[in-house]
Amino acid sequence: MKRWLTMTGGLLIWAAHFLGLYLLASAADVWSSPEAASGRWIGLGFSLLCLALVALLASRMLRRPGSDETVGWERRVAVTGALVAAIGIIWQTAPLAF
Amino acid sequence: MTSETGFDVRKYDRFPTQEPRPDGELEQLEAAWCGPRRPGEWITAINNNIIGVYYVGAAMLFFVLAGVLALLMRTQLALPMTGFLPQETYNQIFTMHGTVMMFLFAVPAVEALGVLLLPQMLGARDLPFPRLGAYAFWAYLIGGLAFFCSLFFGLAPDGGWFMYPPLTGMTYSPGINADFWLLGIGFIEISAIAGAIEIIVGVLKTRAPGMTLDKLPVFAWAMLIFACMIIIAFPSVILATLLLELERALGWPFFDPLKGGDPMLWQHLFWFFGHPEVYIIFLPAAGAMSTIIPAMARTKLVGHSLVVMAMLATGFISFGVWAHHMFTTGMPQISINYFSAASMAVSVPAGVQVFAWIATIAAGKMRFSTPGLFAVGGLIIFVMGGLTGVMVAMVPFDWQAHDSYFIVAHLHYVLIGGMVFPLFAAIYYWLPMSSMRPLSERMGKWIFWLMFAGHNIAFLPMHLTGLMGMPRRVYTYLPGRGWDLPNFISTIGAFLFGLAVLLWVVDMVRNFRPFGPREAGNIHDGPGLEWLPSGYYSVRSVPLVKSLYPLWEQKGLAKQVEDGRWFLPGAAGGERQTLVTSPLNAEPQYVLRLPRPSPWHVFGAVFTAGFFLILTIQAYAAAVISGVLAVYCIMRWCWFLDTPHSRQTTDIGAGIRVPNYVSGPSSHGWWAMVIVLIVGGMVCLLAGFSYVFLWSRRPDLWQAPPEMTSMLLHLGVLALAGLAAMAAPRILRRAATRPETVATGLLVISAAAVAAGVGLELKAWWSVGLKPDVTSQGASVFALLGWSAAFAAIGALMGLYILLRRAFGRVSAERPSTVDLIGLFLTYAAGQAAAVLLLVRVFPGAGS
Repeated sequence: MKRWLTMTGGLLIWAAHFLGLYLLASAADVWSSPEAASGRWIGLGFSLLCLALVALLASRMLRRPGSDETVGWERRVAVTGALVAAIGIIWQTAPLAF
Repeated sequence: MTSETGFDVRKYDRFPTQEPRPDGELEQLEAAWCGPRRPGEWITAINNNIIGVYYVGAAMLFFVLAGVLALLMRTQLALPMTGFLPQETYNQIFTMHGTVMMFLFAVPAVEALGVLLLPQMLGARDLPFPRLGAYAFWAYLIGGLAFFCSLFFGLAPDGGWFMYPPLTGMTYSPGINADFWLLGIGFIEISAIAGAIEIIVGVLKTRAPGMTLDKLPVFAWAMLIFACMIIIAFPSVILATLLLELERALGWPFFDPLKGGDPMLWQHLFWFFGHPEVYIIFLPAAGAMSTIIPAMARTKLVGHSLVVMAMLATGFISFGVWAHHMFTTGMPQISINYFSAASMAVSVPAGVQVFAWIATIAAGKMRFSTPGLFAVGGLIIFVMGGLTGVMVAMVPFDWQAHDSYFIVAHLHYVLIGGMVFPLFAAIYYWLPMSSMRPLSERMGKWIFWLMFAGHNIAFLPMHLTGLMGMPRRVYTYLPGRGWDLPNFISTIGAFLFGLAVLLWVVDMVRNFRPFGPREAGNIHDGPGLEWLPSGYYSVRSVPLVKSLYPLWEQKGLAKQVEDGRWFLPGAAGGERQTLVTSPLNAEPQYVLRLPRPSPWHVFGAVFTAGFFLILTIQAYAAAVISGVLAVYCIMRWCWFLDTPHSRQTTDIGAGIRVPNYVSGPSSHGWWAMVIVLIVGGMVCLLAGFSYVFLWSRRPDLWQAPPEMTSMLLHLGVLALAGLAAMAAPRILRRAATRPETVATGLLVISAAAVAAGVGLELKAWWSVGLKPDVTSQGASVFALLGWSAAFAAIGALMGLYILLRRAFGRVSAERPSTVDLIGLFLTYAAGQAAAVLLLVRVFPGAGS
């Protein structure tokens, strides 16, 4: 399970980030206003946290020992997944500015 | 590479074996896996070679039927103000066209392709639950045909394929048409989930030794992600159909705003399933494209790891785009912005795959035979659909195009380019694997060009028709609006497409010859294991996989496999067996004894379908009888599982012995149960979301929960249930005296305690005056508790089942799987009920 989680970790964080932003907006819709500045700052902080997690995961994968074909392949999938996730998280955070 | 299971991978060096194979080994293998001999055995067959062909055939039958409906619609719309179809019939036809294409063709077709291809592709003899696969097929076929036949009685659903309330509520749809959709589709989704379980466990546990994740065929990756997405997405539509049926049948107001319900809840639940559904359909087709294009271009797939990553990314992000179908519903602006951004982002992984295919075509020498043509044609059409997809992800554009023919054009470009063309490529590419003759290349090219031209002539003008303002789902239109000509052209295109399909049917009738003594074989020089010589037993021996393209890079492999030089070259004891391997490194773990054909799964499917269909026509007594018979048949089918084995281990070749039986997390049954519980958990999670969502709409209608001391008592009962269920497997393994009796007793106590805990909670809410048909709180609380009660009821059946097994001496410490799995189920049922109880008691607390 650990290998699956590290291989798909970036994508999992991306999914969690999306869900988190949506839940924050929905909660704000119920309790105050989804457009409120406080909600945007919380969203931004959450996005930075997710980005940091993705970066941490990618750096751990890059340092992972093992040089055989399978380990290298899993590393490639994990790191490119983390890269796509990072772009996705930044893109997904952009609406907070508007 | 470190071992995943402790298996010494140096043992692989003993293969291929050199010594002569024993006399009669092949004959014994053929006898164990012999095909049907009598007519009835064609129905009770469970072998994937047979069921897979039936499954693909049934899916294509529904494709043709739904296509005929499309032609009827296009005839009606060819000219303005025609009276070819009455309005009511048109409504039924467009609803059935969408529903049949999405639920009875697209998902089953790709699932069928998986059932047919995966065992051979993975080097397995069969998927791990062949009877479950056969059950899923028969349930789908019977349910699907009965559902389709509702058209002939004017009883077909008519609310559109996504069945929005309030249109589909009792006020506006008082007949049983909508019930056919709700119960029929809910039932067919159960069949899809059964197939998904089979595929997940099959891909993870029955791969050939050495087939590590980097050597797993891209199609198998796609099927794995596809099946996982089904497990996450389909519970949403199951819940949605359940809630709407409860509102229609019993007046529970989930979607009725007057009583605190909200029709938006349906849209959230439906599209949480509905949008991933598009990728659920696309991913296996993309996997097929990533297999066919390299084979036809005679080169390796460019960017293999990127393609796998892109498929994984698509799987994840596809769950974040459901609300882009709801841009016009008045959601908060910030939420709309998030979904718009996600909808654009999802084009990135799709783009990665498209560029990988283009690069592969450029890197190799593409052969434009029929599979190649369909693959490239699909690529072009899909890219066009993807581009309009990015357009409708832009909110201002979507507001203009929403519910117009532009959307009809977009979705057909995506689905036909992303699934139908790849499916035809797959049929032309893989059919020689299952047929004595390949399909005609000459006719295939005619079919491709007619289909390609027909598609574009039919759907390209629809972009314009939509931009000119023509709404979807209208049965006719007035002349003089500029819609006449594009509609007429679309109709011509649709009939060209229909002609292509007709020619394909002719080609199939002329050339498709399944179940013969030999197949046409690897005429495309494909590199995968599925092209190894095979029989009903799949491959003669299971090879060690050293490459992603074994037939291209492992020279002499086909001959060695056929000579029995690799793993499991025979059928020890005359049994049907397959090798179970570890999920990451595919190291041999144990030999799985596969079942033989029997009629019980067929009867089970018939009566399960009967239960749902008879329920639709409100013949409740007959439905209950059918349901009881279904339960009996399924129990009967399970009765012969987990029975003693004459040998403890099997020699899988070169003197390597592995066990014939394992229990716990290594066993395939444990994996299947965990997946079933994830499905149950997803339904419960989404029901919890529905509960909170409905509260957020009308908190003023919510009343306080019952007093808290009763909650503690009920939680205590459920904790007892969980502890007893967890203790049973341990006691069975460790108790010194009468472990079987004690473990059975604990499971029965656990089942009773789950039922008691849920029953007491229901009573507590009822006694404080909460009624399910009065407010949305009542409806959602009773729905959540009802879901827990359903698990309690299944737990009670399991309690009865284990008691019977104990009475007949079929519970044993040497074979603890049955106790393990029932214990796991009851532990989950108790945990789920406790979580539900806490949610409804603690949130929102004392009410408003």
